[in-house]
Amino acid sequence: MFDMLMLGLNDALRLDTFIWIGGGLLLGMLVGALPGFTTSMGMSVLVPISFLVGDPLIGIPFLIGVYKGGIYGGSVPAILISMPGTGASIATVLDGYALTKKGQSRKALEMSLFSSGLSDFFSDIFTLVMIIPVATVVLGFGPPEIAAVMFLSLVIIAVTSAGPAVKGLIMLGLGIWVGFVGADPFSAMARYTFGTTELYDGFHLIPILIGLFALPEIFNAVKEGDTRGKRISTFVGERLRLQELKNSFRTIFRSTMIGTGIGIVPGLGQPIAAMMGYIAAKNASKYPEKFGEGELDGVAAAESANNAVNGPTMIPLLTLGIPGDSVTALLLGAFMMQGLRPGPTLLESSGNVVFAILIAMIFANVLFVIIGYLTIPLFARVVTIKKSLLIPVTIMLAFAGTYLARSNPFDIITLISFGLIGIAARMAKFDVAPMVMGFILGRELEYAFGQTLALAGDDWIHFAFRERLGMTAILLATPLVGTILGFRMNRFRRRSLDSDRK
Amino acid sequence: MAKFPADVVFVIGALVLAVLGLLFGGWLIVDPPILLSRDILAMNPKVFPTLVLFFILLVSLIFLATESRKGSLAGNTLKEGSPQSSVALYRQVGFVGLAVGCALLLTTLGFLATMFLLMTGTSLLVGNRSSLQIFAISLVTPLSFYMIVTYMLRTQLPEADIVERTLAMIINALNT
Repeated sequence: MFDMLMLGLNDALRLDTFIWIGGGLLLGMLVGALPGFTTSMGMSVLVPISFLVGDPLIGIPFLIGVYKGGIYGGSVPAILISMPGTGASIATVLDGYALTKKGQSRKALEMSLFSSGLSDFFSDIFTLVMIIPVATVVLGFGPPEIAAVMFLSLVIIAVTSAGPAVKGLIMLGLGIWVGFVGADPFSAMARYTFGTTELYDGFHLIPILIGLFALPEIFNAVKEGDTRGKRISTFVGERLRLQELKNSFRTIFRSTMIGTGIGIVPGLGQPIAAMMGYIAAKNASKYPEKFGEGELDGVAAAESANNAVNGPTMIPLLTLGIPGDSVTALLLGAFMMQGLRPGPTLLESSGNVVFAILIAMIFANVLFVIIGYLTIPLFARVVTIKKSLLIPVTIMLAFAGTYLARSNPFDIITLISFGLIGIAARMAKFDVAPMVMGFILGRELEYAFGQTLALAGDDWIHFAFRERLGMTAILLATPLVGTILGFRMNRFRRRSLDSDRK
Repeated sequence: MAKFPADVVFVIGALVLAVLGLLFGGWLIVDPPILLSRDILAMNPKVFPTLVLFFILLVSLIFLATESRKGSLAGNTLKEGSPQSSVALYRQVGFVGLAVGCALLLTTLGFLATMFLLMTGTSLLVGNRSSLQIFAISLVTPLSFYMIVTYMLRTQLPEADIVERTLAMIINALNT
């Protein structure tokens, strides 16, 4: 493994990789800074481009750049016009906008940048350190344990999705069901193909991702009509002083720990991390009453927590093939398009590529802070760009990206079909993320489940309670974990709402 | 006119799909041609889909029962839409129609013409009224994208023969 790490270090230090990461960071910041554009939407239309460049050491770091840039970029409209660019920046509005109203938007934006960069850097190092022991443990997993872990992850993703758990479970079921379209993994018999050859290989992931994430956003923009951010005195006030950053180190460290912990668990994601980081900082502060009134610590807490999630989400993705959120689901699609299959054997088969990507992620943070610092004034203006100029370009990228992934016209029909499902789901306030996870993991779960049945033979009791105790323990824990998380999420949402109102 | 909340309608849709999937599973999933033993075929292709459909059915029923207790299934009276909301509705319907139409036309008309239609239509629906801006964006962006993809990344986008030939001629002329 250490040899792989060294090879990865060698592979990561390539100029073209860094140029593409830089491009990804810029595009991500642009997408994040535009109110109404989400990181998922930006990434979904850019995944095919990462495939077209051909090299996984360019394509994947490019997307990781978009991811990192997007999460940070969301803080720009949150601070300047009280409109979070992404869900991850909801907590940033509370103090960020208050600072803007006080004429200190520059300070708030710089605090957001530095706290994001620092937390991202440390959580990426944690990811690199942790991935080897986790991968070693996972390597000992057989189909029963993999099936049990997938089942647990899917339940967590469903109950922690936006809205009530029951809605998440319905979307999860629908996603798994859609994944059955095509050939059965064991007998290769056709399922739900209606006799067509196009459906025999099943639906391709890319049109589903673009359809479910990008088209509903475009639809929403069309509904709202041409809007632009409020005209503001964008970038004013004093610079952030080093002492002010130092004063927030304790908060940044705490939020980094919170974000890192949340990043490892599939399904929780940045918005929860940001809110938890913010609440923790407020509770730990000597002056909690200042939070919400323009406290720099509030910006640092929210931004460092949401960016710390980015790295650790790669741990379940790379070792188990389980994406933690919609953005990592897109990364999974990008890995698969590059011929890399995330899962227990990925580090063995392509360890150097994985380590190169993780090391590039760490170096990308330095680039992130430099690019971010230089472009803050630019992105502060981007907030006011008219939607009517950007939406047509986005829809073109959605269509072209879908077609380019496989050059199959049927994928365009899939894009539209899933776009309509995404639009209906959004109107009904259903989160599409569990559906995507169900689609991605459903077939894998079925395969592992089938293999488990074959391994178990007829003596199930002996198999479950003597041979595969790990599997049984995870399966028995799943309803308990699901119920506890469901209740905690409900309580957390109520607390966040209260905090928002205050 | 009675109207259910959108989430209830969505769940009813999921429920109907699950019921149809269960009822017609026999036709929609092909059985293996010969009866394979468990050593060869770990699981019949119908087993897992049936489990998942029962799961959707069960969770949908739980959702509907909960909503029913809240009174959501009693139906609300549909309010008259304000003029603003009807404009938004026309825009949405127009966008869906445009997207579906362009998806069907892409291989026939080619990338550039379809994207011109799609982008012009979307610009108008989003509310852009500057014909110069609309024309510039709808023409220049797809053309630049097409050039990058075709000539730099060497990947094919669907295009009418005549457009492909004309562009190739222009590129060749520029090269020489």
